[in-house]
Amino acid sequence: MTAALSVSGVTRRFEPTEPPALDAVDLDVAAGTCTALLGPSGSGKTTLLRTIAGLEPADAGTVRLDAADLTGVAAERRGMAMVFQRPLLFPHLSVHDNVAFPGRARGLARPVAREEAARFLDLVGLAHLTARDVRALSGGQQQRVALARALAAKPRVLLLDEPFAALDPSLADEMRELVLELRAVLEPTVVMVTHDHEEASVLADDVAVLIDGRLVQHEPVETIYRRPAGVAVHRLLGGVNELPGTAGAGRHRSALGELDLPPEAQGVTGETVLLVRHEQVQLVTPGDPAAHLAGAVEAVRQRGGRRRVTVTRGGVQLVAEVPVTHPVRVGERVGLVVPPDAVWPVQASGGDQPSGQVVDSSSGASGTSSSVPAKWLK
Amino acid sequence: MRAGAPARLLLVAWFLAPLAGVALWALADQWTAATVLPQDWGLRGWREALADGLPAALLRTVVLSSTVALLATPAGAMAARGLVRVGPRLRAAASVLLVVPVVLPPLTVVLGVDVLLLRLQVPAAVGVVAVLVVQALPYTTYVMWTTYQAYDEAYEDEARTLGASALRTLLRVQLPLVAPGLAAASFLALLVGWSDYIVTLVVGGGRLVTLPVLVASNAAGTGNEPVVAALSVVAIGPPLLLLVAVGLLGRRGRRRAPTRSSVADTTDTARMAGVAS
Repeated sequence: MTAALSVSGVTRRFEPTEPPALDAVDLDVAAGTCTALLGPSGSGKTTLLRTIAGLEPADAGTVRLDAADLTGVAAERRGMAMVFQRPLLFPHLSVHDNVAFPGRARGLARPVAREEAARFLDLVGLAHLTARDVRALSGGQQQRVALARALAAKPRVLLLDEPFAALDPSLADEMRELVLELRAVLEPTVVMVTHDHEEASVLADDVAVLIDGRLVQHEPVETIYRRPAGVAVHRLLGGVNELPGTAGAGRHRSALGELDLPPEAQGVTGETVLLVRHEQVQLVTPGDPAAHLAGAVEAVRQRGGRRRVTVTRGGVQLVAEVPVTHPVRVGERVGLVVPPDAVWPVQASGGDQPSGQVVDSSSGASGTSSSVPAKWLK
Repeated sequence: MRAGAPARLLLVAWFLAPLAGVALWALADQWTAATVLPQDWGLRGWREALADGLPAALLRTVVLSSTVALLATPAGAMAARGLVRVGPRLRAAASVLLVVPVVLPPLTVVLGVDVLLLRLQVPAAVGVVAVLVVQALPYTTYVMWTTYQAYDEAYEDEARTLGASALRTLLRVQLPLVAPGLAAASFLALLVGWSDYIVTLVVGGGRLVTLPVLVASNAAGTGNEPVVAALSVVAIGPPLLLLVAVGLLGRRGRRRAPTRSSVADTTDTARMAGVAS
């Protein structure tokens, strides 16, 4: 059922005068894994997904499934199925016949297709709703049926285009749980479009970041949070801390103080922005020997069950996310503990296409093609 | 704002009064002006209508109007499908162009077209169908235009990724979703053919005797009220039955429609039916 997907050099331009919607995108998704396409609105995520599905032509580049080139292959012959943000259940068919639709399209007799459909409805926990009119279902149920229908197409690659964005948070959580269960059972190859980095981290093995039609970074989830390719990727991943300063001798200096660089970035020198994951920053008393940085509390903002504390010194800010019970007052002086694996240096000019500024040629970090920081460090 | 009960009754009476006259005359052998009801009841009108070629005229009307509907509906649907995709300027030009056949006085147009068709040696029946299809196109295109404006092409993308071929997507997804609109459009096109008199008479050169032609030729004489009434009942009946059928289908379609107005409203159908006939 599952297959490796390989996109190479895919370019798509809607208007000759506009920049391309997709600019030479390369993306490899191993069989049975899930990659989340993450990017701001208009970054080309959906266009890439539709191009993979065969719903949009590519001006250049190829999409391959295992070894087979899919150029010119119609959408219905690609062995993919797509779930859109809207459920798009066919209103003239019952729940059962919606899920039997792919089987019928494959040429199965109606009873066989229906029997198969019943299995997939059972898989998404809706076996009791088969005879329903699709418009009598709730939004969450409709999206479950849409998922069952896509699975009934027995796709080698399952494409999800922000399928839970229209659902309320608890329903969306339920759906994510369901997708995780289905991934465990069916092991399909999944490409999922999302603008929500948390959703990406819950469901995906890899995250591929698209910005302005270019694939900026593609890494496993845990890596991409620790080593974002640039400020924009860091922000997309929910990062809020960008410390301007200078690097040298394995340390980064800013108005807030000095921090050790992670081992892979020891060689970085010069003007550097240090990206800091706010979740890993701890607040301590100013005199605490463990504190790396020190400053005064400028603001405290409640954020769900946590609070974000903005610490400032010399015009430089750092946000720490602490438990809501953590005692802290505005104006108070505090120390900050910032572990080395919470920081990552990027080029000071910002942007997501580092210009290849040579920082230290002796650096041991050698580039995988998708790891921009590594390239930059070379 | 809802009309009050008296106003509604008046409206119903306004519509039914002429029909009542026709219905009574169709069952009268004699009815002089002085009395409220006919003096002699009977089937004289029906006997005369049968003798005058009612069955053949009915058949011609059915074939003519069905042909017009079968040609004008898909053509209008395809035009509408294209129109929802074009830019605003082309759309505005198309809306103007579409009302032209409705706005121009039919008699003048038909006389001009007739000369052209004669010169080109187009067979009369073909000419009649061609002109009526053009007259029906504004109705079918407008109805399908509103239908496709509310129609979501994403259903087709979904069907394709689920493995359905283009043909299967058309037959199993698109057509069922726009079926109520198609029913309304073809009903209007049917009416254009069903009720036409001028085009059939002029372009058909008087040889294509359809129901309206037969009604008109009988109505021209005096003392023909029973036969005119009998012919009229046959002319009114089928469209009326169809209107009810389309209305029921439209209601079902609305109930099933995914969005608030994904199909052309049947009230539109009724309104436009009035325009068409």
